[in-house]
Amino acid sequence: MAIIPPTYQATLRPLTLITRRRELPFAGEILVRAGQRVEPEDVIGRTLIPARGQRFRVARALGIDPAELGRSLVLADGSELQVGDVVVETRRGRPRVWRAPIAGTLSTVEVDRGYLVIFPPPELLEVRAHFKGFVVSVEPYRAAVIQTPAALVQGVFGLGGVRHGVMRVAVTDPADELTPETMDERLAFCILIAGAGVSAEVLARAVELQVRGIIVGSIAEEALRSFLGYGDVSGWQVGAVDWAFPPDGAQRSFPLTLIVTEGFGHHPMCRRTFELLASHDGAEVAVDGRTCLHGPGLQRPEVVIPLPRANVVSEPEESLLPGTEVRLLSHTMLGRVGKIVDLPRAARPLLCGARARVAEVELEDGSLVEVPVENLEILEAGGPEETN
Amino acid sequence: METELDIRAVLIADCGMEHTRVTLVDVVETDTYRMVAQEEVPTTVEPPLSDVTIAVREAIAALERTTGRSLLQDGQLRIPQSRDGQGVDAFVATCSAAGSMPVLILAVTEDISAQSARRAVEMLYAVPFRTVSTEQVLREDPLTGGAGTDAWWRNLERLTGGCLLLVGGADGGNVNPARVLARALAEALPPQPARLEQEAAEMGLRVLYAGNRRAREIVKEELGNRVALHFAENVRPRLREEHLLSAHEALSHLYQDLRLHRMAGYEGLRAWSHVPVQLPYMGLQLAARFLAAHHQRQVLALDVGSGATVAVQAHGERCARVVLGHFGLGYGIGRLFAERANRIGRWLPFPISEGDVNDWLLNLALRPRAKPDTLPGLLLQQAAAREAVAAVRERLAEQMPDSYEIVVGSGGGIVRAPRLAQAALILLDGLQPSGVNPTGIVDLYLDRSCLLPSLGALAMVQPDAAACVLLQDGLYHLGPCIVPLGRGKEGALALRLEMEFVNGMRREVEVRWGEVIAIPPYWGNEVHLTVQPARGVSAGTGRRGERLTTRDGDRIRCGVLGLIVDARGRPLSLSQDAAARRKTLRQWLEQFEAYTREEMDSLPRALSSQEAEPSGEE
Repeated sequence: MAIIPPTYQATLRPLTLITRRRELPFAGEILVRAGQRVEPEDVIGRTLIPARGQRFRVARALGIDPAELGRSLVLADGSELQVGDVVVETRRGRPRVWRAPIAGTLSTVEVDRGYLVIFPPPELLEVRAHFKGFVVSVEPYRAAVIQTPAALVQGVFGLGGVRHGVMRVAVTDPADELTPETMDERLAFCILIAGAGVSAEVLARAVELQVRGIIVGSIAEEALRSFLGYGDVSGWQVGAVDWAFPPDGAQRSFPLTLIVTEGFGHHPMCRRTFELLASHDGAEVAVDGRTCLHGPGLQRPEVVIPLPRANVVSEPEESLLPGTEVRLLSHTMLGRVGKIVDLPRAARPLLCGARARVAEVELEDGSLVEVPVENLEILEAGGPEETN
Repeated sequence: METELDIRAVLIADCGMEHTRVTLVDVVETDTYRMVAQEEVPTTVEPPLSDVTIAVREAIAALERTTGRSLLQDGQLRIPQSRDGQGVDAFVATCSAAGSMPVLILAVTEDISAQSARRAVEMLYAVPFRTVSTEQVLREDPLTGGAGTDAWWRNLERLTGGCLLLVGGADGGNVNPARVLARALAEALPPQPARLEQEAAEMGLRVLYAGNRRAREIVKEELGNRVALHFAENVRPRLREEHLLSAHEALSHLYQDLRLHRMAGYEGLRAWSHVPVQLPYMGLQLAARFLAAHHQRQVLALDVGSGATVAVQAHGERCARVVLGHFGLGYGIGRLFAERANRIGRWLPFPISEGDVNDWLLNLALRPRAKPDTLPGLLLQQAAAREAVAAVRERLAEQMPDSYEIVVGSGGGIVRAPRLAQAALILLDGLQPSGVNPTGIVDLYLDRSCLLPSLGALAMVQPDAAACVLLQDGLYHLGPCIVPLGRGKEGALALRLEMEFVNGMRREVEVRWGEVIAIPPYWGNEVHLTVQPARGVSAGTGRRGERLTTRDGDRIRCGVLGLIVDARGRPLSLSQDAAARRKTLRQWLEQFEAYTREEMDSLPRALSSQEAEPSGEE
């Protein structure tokens, strides 16, 4: 009986049925109904994000007793404030006033302790569809589920949220690297296929040009560290709090979405991935860079390329078998793909001297290598995949 | 319900972050409990399978194939064992697959109460991921060094599977610092938006207060019903007094509630197990205490796993434990890398740029299950293992001196080394044992089947079985190690050894400074040993130049590697010059027969890029 560990999931699906949940972070209003057709720009739902209240130590600022603050208020709890509005006026001795330093709503919940709280106005948040499809179900006040036939490419990690745009091939070969000199204003609002790697300069240039997303084979740790603004490697506490990647990714907003398909270092993009992406040059795609490496929220970054309606045939359970196309995951083999020719049952010695269960893999150049099964990932599948 | 005497065959499942290992223990012909078979499969706690018991079933099915016994029937365990030996009498489980709990420490001072809080957190699978002091709060740059007031909110939102530990102040002392902290926390709490009720309940922040008892009411008053507040005894009731037990127990309860019980498939595992699901570090502690009592010696047990690194030192009634949650060689490589990246590269005997080391380690963080399949990859992983061991050694040294006499290495990070000499060298390099103990010898053992962490659960249903398995199947004796102390010029004589074997044959060996060697047991495993240190050199608790001998006592048992002598000096000094350091490392690895000369010659000889190499500085 073959076991199917999570890493054995296919990362490339040329034709599949994509189901994605577009969710509001807080309860709000869902603006679509089941069965409705949606375009990438369509707003699925909206909600108000309440701002955090700011506390002001007013009694101390005015030099009065906290108990006196309540009596000195000139506006009632819940009043709408503009900057400069007089909120407190002392009545004893020389009159002194306290004016609102920010706009918002007044709260007197802590007036007895000498504090006033002002809640700034809430922000409007809108969630868009990001790809063309049909709404298959709606969860009132919270989410809508959209479905479309599509090609799907999953990366190993990324950053940035869901964005959509026209995909452009920016290099001619998966082993080529994108340089700042080859980038110009024509790439604005596009999703770029950037080949083997990008530098911190390329990322900065992309932000400047308002590029919406970059799909790349690899990136050097130093380049990404510089882009993320980490002073040193101590920022890479991967998984110490949650399994978001980068470690503070869930708390930050990024000016573009980056999807890395192979990993860190200097590795070409897997040729099959590059070819699949390049075959859809000019298509409107959605990219999602959010990454969770482990746990119930496991999520890989992805590129969704909606396709015209087609019959998607479900495939059997994915498993490593002779004939399966795989990508190689060990650091020195990143970007390489091959086909399993044999799966010996007994453990075999590796180059490093350790013994492990291996698969014999025929690489694209015809050479045969023995690779531990843990270092393999199924490359391609075509069946419907689970909602996330 | 069966009694202990009825329990003969037991299945032990150890569900780790990366692998699930199931071991069958049974009574064999000699009427003793022995390990019969063991199988290991990848853990299935995360999507798409999301059920830890799937891997347990898979491993049991594999056991059925290897032993020919029927252990499952219709997907359920066959209990009790039948007369023809099918099925088992009990099933027990240990589990670390739930990962580590992040803990944010809010402390009155960074140096005293915060250190105690960190020690309390490092007694279980938890990560003290950030410490904030009153001073920082008053400077109004909490948590992210001035990244804005919303930084508080964002960090607290990340704590969904973790908790907040509030400490500070001696019992009966000034309550104001605790008030400041509690108020700062209250200010940082997110506003109550239009969350659905159920969701709001799930988001409830857990806060454990283990500070000044007098300030409890104030903390309650400041935080009100906005958080789930728990109380424990003060971790620092007086300036020079530390009480960690109560806080540790409270944190353990929070861990069970927030992590273990919420793990995918926990209920299934719990339903199968005869006793509550145990945590592996408890098993390691039990094994260390048992060995210390059995051998009447000080024991250090280490478990370098994929997600956590654990060390337990036991001496008589005394016992110290350090658990570095999320600090390991697979799922825990992120924290290991972030804390010790600049030290890992210095253990590599081939030229490699700092950038390449960083890229390699981060790729492992992205794919923690990937195995090293090349020699440089294996050396990098073993370099990381040395640093994991060194880190846990430093933490443990805060609690107990390194006067241990037995070292037991467990966990994939150590036992998966393809050669025993490699595992021994990881222990020697990481721990740098001084051998300053009554016997002057440190015995190295390897727990090759990674059984030690599971023995706690086994002992709960059948203590005899745990003891038998530990003594007969659990440990692999690598060898006794002698460490000459002092300083000498490289190549100068450090000590002279005389080995007298059972058959009367003698052998003399001279060991020089800078060498680490394993002397094979030429004519038998037991020897009388005479150590004559060079002038100015000592061994064990002996004086400088003092001759030590075992002639008047018991013979020394050599291990599978023989007798180990580590004459590299303490602390180990690695040259800052990269080429010189690589040469020394190569010499050690070849001399100790951890790697062959051919293997060393096959390593890269030049940097692939112009980047800087890692420095040898500590």
